[in-house]
Amino acid sequence: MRDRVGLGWRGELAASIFEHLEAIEVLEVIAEDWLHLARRKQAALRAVACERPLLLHGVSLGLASSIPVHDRRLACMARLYETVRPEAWSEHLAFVRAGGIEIGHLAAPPRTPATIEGACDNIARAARAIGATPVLENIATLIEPPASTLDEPAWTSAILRNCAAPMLLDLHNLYANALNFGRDPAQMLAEMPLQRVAVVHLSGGHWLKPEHAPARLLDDHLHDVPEAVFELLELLAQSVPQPLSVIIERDGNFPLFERLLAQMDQARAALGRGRAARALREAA
Amino acid sequence: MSAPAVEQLLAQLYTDAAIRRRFIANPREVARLGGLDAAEAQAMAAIDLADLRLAARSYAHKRAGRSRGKGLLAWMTRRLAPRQVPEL
Repeated sequence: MRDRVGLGWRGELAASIFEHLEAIEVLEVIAEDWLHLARRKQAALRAVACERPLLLHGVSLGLASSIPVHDRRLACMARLYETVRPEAWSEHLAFVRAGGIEIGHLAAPPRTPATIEGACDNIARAARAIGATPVLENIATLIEPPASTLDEPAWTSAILRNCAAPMLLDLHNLYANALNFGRDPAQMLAEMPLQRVAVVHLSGGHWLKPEHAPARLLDDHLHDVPEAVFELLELLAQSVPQPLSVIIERDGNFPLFERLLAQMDQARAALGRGRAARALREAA
Repeated sequence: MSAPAVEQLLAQLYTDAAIRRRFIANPREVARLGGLDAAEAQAMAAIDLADLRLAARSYAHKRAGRSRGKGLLAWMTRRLAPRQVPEL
């Protein structure tokens, strides 16, 4: 297997994706866009999966929680997985609800042994229900989760190790968290469990500048991938031997499709530079 | 330690402006009422309030975007026009 570069499927991009399929080596689909559709409609995704390797991406299970994920949610994901038969499925290391309250998006739980244990229980149940271990993604956060006793790389590494799970490394999330909380992105990258990375997300964001408070980088998927994130991809490709599937995520403020294609080419170039540097190092 | 209680309080702080105001005024008391022990309450009291406000705004923005997306008309609008998500 070799490195692959592709795109997150969005309805607004569907026509252009089919038109430029030869330039897209892998596709990622948001599971929640399809979870509650009739099986007949879900089967349409199977047709897409026959065209290109398909990754199913969940955003609402809330696996990284000390609160058990509801069986009904796992059953819905299992049904979609069985119908679509993707190459793999992924979810976030996040909680999204607690005590009946829906936060509405991904939130970082306190990074503690208790949430490691809760996450591992949830991930094991999800793997049993769906028949495959999820690829687990690091999230962006605007706030350091309070009551934490571990930093993000240590907490993430412990979960992935205990669950023997592969990682979806979102490089813009890592970049944003590093900048927001005073860390060096390259150093933080080095501390992540890179040997487990199978999939990579690239996206963009913008700076929030509140009055009387430090600026924070928001991962919004509405902007181009910044150059610094491509540099992290190059560093990753230089650091690990395994093949990577790289997905560009764009949720809105869509540019011309050619610009997305150009960003995929930038990702290929970054991978190429990283692999070349690795080969040189190994030869020496 | 009551990890579920900590998560529940965080979820409340991210979504409920009234609880957030009470917490900012008296974090330990709100944490204690939420079932946290003294150590957890102290850890919660150390939360960065500027970041808490920003995170709560961001989550509200996400929820608003989602509720805007409900209903047939919204669905058709999304299908017929490029999505323009307003910036936070």
